[in-house]
Amino acid sequence: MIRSVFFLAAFLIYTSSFAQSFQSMKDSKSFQQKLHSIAAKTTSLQSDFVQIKHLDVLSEDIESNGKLVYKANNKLRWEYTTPLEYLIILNGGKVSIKDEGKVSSYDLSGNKTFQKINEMMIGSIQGDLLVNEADYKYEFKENSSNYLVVMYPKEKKVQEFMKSINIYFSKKDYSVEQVKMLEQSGDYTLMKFKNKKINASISDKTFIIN
Amino acid sequence: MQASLTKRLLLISTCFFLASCNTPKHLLPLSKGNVTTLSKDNFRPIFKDKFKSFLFKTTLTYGDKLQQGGLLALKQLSEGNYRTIFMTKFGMTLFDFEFGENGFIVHKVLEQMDRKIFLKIIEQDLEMLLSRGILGNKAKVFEKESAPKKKVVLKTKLNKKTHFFVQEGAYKITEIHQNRAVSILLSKYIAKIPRSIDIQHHNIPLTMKLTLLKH
Repeated sequence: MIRSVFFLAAFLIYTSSFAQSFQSMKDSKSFQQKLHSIAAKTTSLQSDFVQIKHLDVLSEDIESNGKLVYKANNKLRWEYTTPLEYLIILNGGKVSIKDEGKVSSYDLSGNKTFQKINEMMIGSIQGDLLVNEADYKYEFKENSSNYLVVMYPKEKKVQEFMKSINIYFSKKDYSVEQVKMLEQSGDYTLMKFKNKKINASISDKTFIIN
Repeated sequence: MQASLTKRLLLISTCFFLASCNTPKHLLPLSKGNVTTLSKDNFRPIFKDKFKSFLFKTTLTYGDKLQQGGLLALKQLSEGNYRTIFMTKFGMTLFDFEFGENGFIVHKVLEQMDRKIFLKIIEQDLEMLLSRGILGNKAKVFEKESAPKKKVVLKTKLNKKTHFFVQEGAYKITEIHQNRAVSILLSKYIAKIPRSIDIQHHNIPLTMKLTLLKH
């Protein structure tokens, strides 16, 4: 249960802060419609990511690198490659985790928490995450190059650990460029996505742990 | 599950409450001990007493009830003061506390881990890892030949309480004190620093496996 909560909260960790200042989005409905329309046409997505954990107390940020691969519908491979190796795969109603060579699998159907994780992970890619008004209050912003969606958790327990989730979208192709989770203390986790490939052919074998 | 973990830790702790400070039977017989002052010549600290910070890949396991992987950062704030932060691989902070000369200060802890006894155990494990408060103490030093390795047994007082440390070369150190029996296994040395550290509790099914990533 605890581990599940950790994963859930961890996947809520999406945001970033670019240098340019943001102003209220002129037409947030149009933005959301466009986002959903693009998500509906997305059959696959591949990206490298850099995860930066900033802690005020440490003089250096902690950086992790990895790759993610998504294939419609509901197949996701999320893999850390350095400095540690860790792999999560969501596929066919199951979540599989490989850590230090040990593989664990869980059935999503009997586990509400993992169902929630599934919704969060896939939803963050498909854009569905932006309509969860039961759990978040939203702010829609923009500057000349990016759209920014700021999600404020409503639940107090989540608020203790997370002040907001900021998702930055490219204005060019509406893809997620950065995600940042801000903690109340000012510490944050930033994920930067790069080398994105959209709608490339991806083998189903990618979503099987060897 | 966490409540269960806490209850079990509490129960075990209570059971060992009345344990004596006499030499544990399994350490006997010991040679005639010489009283000495602990220094780097007769006690081998795992790490240097001054460092900036360490980053470990960490797996915390409690029997088959809990297995939590993540990253553990350990920073020296000042001489004798440290801060440790355990976070998931995704960056979420699970606990963040300070310990040392200035006392024990919890900066953040996930509700499910917010149990004093749990954090105290982690603190004690890290203090042992850092050999905090050991050097400079008076101790009785015994040698125990048990093939194939020689063991050095140190009997000393920390916070006015008797602690035994059993050192087996650079590869294992065990601490025994009332409700505590913990071994630290060290391996994969590079430049005299162990890259692999296994902290194993003998009276509770708690282990902490650390792999040094950065220092």
